[in-house]
Amino acid sequence: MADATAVDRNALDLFERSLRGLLTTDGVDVDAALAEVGWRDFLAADPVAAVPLLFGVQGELLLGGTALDDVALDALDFDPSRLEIDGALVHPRRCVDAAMRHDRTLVVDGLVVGERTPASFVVVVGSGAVIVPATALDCAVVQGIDPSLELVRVRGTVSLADVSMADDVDGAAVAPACRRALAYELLGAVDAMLATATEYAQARHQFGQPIGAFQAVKHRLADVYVARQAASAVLAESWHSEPECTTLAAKALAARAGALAAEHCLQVLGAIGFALEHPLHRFVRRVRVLDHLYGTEAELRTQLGRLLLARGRVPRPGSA
Amino acid sequence: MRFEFTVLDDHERALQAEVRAFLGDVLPRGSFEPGLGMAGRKDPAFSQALAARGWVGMSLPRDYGGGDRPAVERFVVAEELLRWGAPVGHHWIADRQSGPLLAKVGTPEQKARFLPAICRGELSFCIGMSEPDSGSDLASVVTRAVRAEGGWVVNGTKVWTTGAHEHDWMMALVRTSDGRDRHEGLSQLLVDLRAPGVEVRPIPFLDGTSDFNEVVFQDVFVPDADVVGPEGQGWRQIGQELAFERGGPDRWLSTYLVLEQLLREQPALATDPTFGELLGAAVAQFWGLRQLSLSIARTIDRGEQPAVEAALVKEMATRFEQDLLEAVLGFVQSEPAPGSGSLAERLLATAVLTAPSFTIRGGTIEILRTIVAKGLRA
Repeated sequence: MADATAVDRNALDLFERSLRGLLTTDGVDVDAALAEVGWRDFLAADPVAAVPLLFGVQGELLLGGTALDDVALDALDFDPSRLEIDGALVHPRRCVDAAMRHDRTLVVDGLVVGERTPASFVVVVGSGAVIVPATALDCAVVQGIDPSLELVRVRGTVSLADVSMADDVDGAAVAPACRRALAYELLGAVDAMLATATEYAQARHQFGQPIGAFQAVKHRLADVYVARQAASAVLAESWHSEPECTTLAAKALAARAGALAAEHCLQVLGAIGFALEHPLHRFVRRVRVLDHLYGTEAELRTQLGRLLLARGRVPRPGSA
Repeated sequence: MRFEFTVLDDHERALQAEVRAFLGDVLPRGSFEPGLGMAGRKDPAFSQALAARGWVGMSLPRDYGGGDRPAVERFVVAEELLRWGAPVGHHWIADRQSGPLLAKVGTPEQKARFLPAICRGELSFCIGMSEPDSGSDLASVVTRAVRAEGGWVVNGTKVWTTGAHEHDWMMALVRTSDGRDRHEGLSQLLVDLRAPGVEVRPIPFLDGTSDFNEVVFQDVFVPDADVVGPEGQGWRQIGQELAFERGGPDRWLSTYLVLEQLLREQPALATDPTFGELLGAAVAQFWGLRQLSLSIARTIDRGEQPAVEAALVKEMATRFEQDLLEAVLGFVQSEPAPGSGSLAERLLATAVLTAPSFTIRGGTIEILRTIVAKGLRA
């Protein structure tokens, strides 16, 4: 057992190093780089190792790309290329599906990551998924506070007669898997912000000492770290038990840690943190936008509460 | 530390009604893009129209074009302007602190030169205090003025100077001598931003503005006539100036408009019990802050310097505004877009990116809490 772990560890480190090497190059095409390192195979073979690694790096380096689609499709157990379609996944902006059925029509409203023009969209509806021709929906680039994510809002009403059903898929598994991935991305961003602020607290001197010497500053950074660790713990749990509940909790906690990190790191950095010439602002924007995908912190908490009430019990942590 | 209870009298309430009527007339709702509190746009024409009604330089001496009016009356006008989102950027700093500073410690010549133009809403000021290596530790500034024939030669860099790219004058804190301790030997100098050797560089910010600037002085000559107050007494002068700056309605009226506009655009919120709870909590806090702020104005009118009280109000108010914003965001369905057709959303999008700076600018809450804590021992 120990041997297998050692090999896995080495392979993981190697993978991470090649990934970082590729992804820290200026102007890198993220999707091409991920294809080069065989990300999709890694995801299929060992999601427990692949997802934290990639999404952690994605959050830390503020990358774009379409890895979230890969996570969704892997969970869905659906490979669009087998049907010879280049389907982009429409992710929900809130705690509901990106598409709702009303009699014989489907109302779609969601987000696509990594600005592209695919021929069709894949949308999760309940426990299934449908493939919608791109021409049937309106696309608008989201001019929000983080343009670097290249989000596109996809909306429209289509007749069920104009879409095709994806067979034998596990629609219910998508949201938990994506929430988990997004939570890792949020924590990657938190780690980067914390590192920046901690370094600053050591380097910046006022009143004859580094500002990190002041308890007020120490406490702010510690609070962020505590929030981060709590989220990380539940994230780890989410692979083992009650994924529907734990992923709701994990993303909510990660979003909270993200908001706290933005607030406290901005406060510690002072005015320089707001200047575009400093990288912190990009993380501040990123965590806000990630909060909205698959449900905001508040929405997730409400959803979790509803779920627990429906079940009539609170699952014990560590139980299957 | 004392906050005496106070209310507006009939005369003050009449003034309030007058300002509301003026704003409804000159800037009807929907006819302009409101700003968030003191981040209101610079509009010299509006400042001058306001001045024509006697509402700029209200606390300045009548002899120099001012109104010789109490701080409370200025409070009343400021409150109305800020909650309307009026474009006050051009005259705000001049009116709030630079003018009053000159009135208090300026020479008769300086008063004659600057105050009337400030009172007419013509002249605009910015503040040069922070430097790249001196933020919270303001006494550590290294911009230095060296004696020259008829004045001083200034070298150094000021940073985070709001509006330096579009204002006329800067009130700069510089070191003119070395005293026994570092709080001695600092002076306030009037710097003409168009003088040779002054270079202003806008710094683009997270909220999409470039109002904050870096200002570099390279051998800038400042005549003796432009030194404000006794040489070497700058630190004490700033203390007073900061009391004016910190305790006013600007500190708790930056996000108010977001709340008001949201309710206007989404009347259904009025019957949402959770929103009701937020509103109740927010209003309770607003009343508290307003009372504290008004009390500070009355204290100033009694000739006192409520520096600790002002620090307390700013600390509380800026934190409150940030918390309120977070709470309001909980009722918004999607990430607010800056280019939205909804005014509430536009204001919210701006507020989201600006609000984190409330607890930093004009004194971080860490510094303010220290001031309050020291005050408790008194």
